[in-house]
Amino acid sequence: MARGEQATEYRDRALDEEFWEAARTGREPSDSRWFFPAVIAVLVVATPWYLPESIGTRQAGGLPLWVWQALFGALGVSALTAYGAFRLWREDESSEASPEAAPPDEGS
Amino acid sequence: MPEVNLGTPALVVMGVYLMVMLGLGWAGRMSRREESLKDFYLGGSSFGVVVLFLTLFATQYSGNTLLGFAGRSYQQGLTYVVSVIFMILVVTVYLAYAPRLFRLARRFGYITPADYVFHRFGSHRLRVLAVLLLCWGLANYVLEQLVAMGHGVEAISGGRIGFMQGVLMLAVVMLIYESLGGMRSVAWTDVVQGSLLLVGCAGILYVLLSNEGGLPAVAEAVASSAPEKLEPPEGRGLRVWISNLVLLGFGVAIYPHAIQRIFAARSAKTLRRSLAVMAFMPLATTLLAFLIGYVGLSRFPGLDRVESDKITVYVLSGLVEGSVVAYWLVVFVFAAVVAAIMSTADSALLSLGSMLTKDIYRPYFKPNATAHELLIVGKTVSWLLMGLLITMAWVSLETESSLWLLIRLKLEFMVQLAPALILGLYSRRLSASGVFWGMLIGTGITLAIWVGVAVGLMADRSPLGINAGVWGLAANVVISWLGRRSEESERAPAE
Repeated sequence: MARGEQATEYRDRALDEEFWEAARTGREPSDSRWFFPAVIAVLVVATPWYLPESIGTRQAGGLPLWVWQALFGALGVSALTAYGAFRLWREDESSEASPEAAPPDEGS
Repeated sequence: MPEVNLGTPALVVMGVYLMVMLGLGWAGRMSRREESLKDFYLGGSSFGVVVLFLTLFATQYSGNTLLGFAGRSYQQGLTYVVSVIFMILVVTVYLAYAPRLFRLARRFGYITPADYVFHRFGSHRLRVLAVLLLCWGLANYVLEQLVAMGHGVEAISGGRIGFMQGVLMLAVVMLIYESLGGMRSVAWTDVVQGSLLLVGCAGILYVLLSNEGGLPAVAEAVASSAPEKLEPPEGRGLRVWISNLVLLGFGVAIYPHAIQRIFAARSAKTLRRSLAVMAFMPLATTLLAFLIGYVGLSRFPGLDRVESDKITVYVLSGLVEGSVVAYWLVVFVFAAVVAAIMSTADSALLSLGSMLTKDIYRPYFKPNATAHELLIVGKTVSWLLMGLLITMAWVSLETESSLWLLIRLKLEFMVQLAPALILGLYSRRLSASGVFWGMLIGTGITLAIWVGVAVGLMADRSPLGINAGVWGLAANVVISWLGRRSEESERAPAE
């Protein structure tokens, strides 16, 4: 790969292809159309903007209900994230075992 | 205010703990496989699930989690429950980039995040800007840990060991084990530190919830002394909530020392499993810090901003008199707090050394340097930086700055790397010049707001409740996106 600023826009296509090919050898949470929208939906639900004051400020176990709403939302994001890591991220095992190379410009 | 004096047994525990850390540093050195940057800075990319999880955990949860977050919860009230959500969101953001970055790191042998930036965009000026922003953030981060370290040791010893003595003692121990075995030693010490933190947090959470009437009694006391702290966010408060989610969720996910742990995983399987468990950790650690602030509001009302940063110390000191079990639990937790501080500081320092050596010294000063030479330079840089930061920690004693101010300064700059790191892995048309100008202008906007407040031109570092760093990030994303290469140039033959 040529160095310098101009190298940015006119890089060697073969190396460029190698980069993108290596990046996309498996499945990941972003391949799932629902995963990140679902996370955003749970974040919206966890944000205390919609409970009427008369309900949200009631106490349960020493915390107002709106705090419980946020904490259950947090648990929802945790569960989704764990699901994404376990189920939606899959590697092509042969690529995991592939030998390492140094970045094209420098040694290791 | 209550004085905390945990007596001689606590100092003995501290001494034993430090000896164990040094022992692990030596063991890390004995286990090295080769003299290479990969072995020193990534532990040879050999970490299994347990080590990887505990090193990620100990690195992510710093002294600031238990000290700074609790202080912020005290100052802000229950709306700081958002901290639990943004710390979980950090792990979700990892899922947006870690799979691709892990594959690339495995394929091309990245050591630092800037290795990816340079490989992906091929731009020297972008690499230098990225390294500058990351180093700025990390140096601030280490400084914050040093200040917390001094306060922690002072608290444990009941003032018998002073702030600066504490900082010096722990910093030297840290530098020794880090210089001995690099990432491998740091990760092994993280295993001890992370375990201490997990067990300590679980114990204190139980005591807080079951002691003196538990949370219902706390709610009653806060309702009479500071009822506004129980209110949900509205208007500006909601914008602050969202701004916190963006700034912390993306900013913390871009910590270079956390990215290097992604590179250090033995396989994608170990990384996936570690991240899945990490997703639940804020429900123990960050939630505990949030509750400490809440309990503190009921027991120590009316503290000013600087005093409220010590609320963890005050709340825990109130438990010491309870029973022998409570005493040892508190000793344990203080050891865990110091462990959390050290594990974060050592990782950040190692990352700083690796970037300055690999991304600046080697390409721009000594392209033909051998691995042996680079390792010596890296270790020297770590010691020199630590000296500089200890001096700054001493200066911070004079200025009494709030811990929270330091966190905001680092994240606002580091978050500017998000477009390069995340968008750069998905959009082939994202160009180096677009990302460079986006990063530069985003940082400039952030700085302009901070300077504007400092010279009195602006009233607030968070205009409309949105953090300066998030304003900068918004501009950064737009500029990076608008600066994409056209489809025609994408199809044009390479020069």
